[in-house]
Amino acid sequence: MNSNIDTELRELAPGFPLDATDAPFRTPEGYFAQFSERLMQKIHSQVIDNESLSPILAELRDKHPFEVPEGYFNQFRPPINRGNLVSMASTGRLKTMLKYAAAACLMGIIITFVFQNLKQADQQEVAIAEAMEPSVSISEGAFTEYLEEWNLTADKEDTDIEKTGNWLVDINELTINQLLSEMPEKEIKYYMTYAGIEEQPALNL
Amino acid sequence: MMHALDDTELVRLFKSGEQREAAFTTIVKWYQEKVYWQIRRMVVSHDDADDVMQNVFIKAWNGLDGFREDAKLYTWLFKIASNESLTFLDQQKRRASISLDNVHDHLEEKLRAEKDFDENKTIWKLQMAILQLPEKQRQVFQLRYYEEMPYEEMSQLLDTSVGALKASYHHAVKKIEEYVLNH
Repeated sequence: MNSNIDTELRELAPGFPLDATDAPFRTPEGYFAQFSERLMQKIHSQVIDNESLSPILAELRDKHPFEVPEGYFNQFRPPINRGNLVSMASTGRLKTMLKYAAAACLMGIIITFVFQNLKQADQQEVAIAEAMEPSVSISEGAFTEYLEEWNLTADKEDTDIEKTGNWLVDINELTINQLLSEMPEKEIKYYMTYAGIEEQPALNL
Repeated sequence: MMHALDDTELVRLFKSGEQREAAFTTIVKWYQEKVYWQIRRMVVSHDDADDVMQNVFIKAWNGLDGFREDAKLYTWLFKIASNESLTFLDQQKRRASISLDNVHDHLEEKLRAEKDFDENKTIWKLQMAILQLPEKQRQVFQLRYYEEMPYEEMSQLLDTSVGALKASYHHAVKKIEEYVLNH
């Protein structure tokens, strides 16, 4: 072993096994003697494969019609400057920021969409309400007149109801007397007993 | 590296197409053992190492025309081997649905299956300890410890600063020492 590397090892790691420098691996007998021959056979077989598949393509493999300005590769310098390096280093942060920006844009779109829908719904309600309003305008005088007329009619109806004394049956005393005269006295007494009504002179038939 | 002066000539021969195959075979013969051991220590079993090494040299064959010789040839080969080893381990994890926690167990099983394995021997304890390291730290340790690669060259190979490599090697050595002393 090179004495420099030996010294370096001793300084770095005094416990390093300096007596174990040779690799213990074995190779098959004659491996290196035959390797170049085997390799060249393989290279030939690959070349033959390419030629037999397509002789034209094999021939054109290393040729192309493009031209490069003279000395281009010698003069070429990748356009890397400090600014580029900084921007490359902060690419990860930029990506994160872009993700947040995209999420914010998406939220904005959703909120705008919902807001627009609500606004449209309100507008529709207003439109429906407007559509239900009568298109013919009624003057205040005519409306008052209508109410007065309606009140009068209502008062009249109330008076009629009061007169009959009953909303459901319009029946007078004569009719009652006629009905009672047709009814057997036995059933009248049975009803009065059942209903707990005492005999009254006015109804004494 | 003893072939450093000849690498350029070999690559030129390959690219020119004059002795393409001969040049490449020479490159393979020169570097195969170093590349093999770099892979083998990562993937543990010989069969897996053989598969990965074939892929490495096939990639080298396909890519050598484009090799610009900014780095040494063997650094370039080591880089391919390093990437291929890590890719192979990732593929194994996916295929066998091995969770990160079980990767060490999986490689330990392979180590225990080795013919001469003896967990009481320090030489095997060291291998067990190396397997406990995270993959990239393991690579750094092996390139420095076994290949004796200078940090500057390793920096070029792994695209990591010299400071980070030294720190990584330091952590690796301490972990291995602790493992070996406690087992």
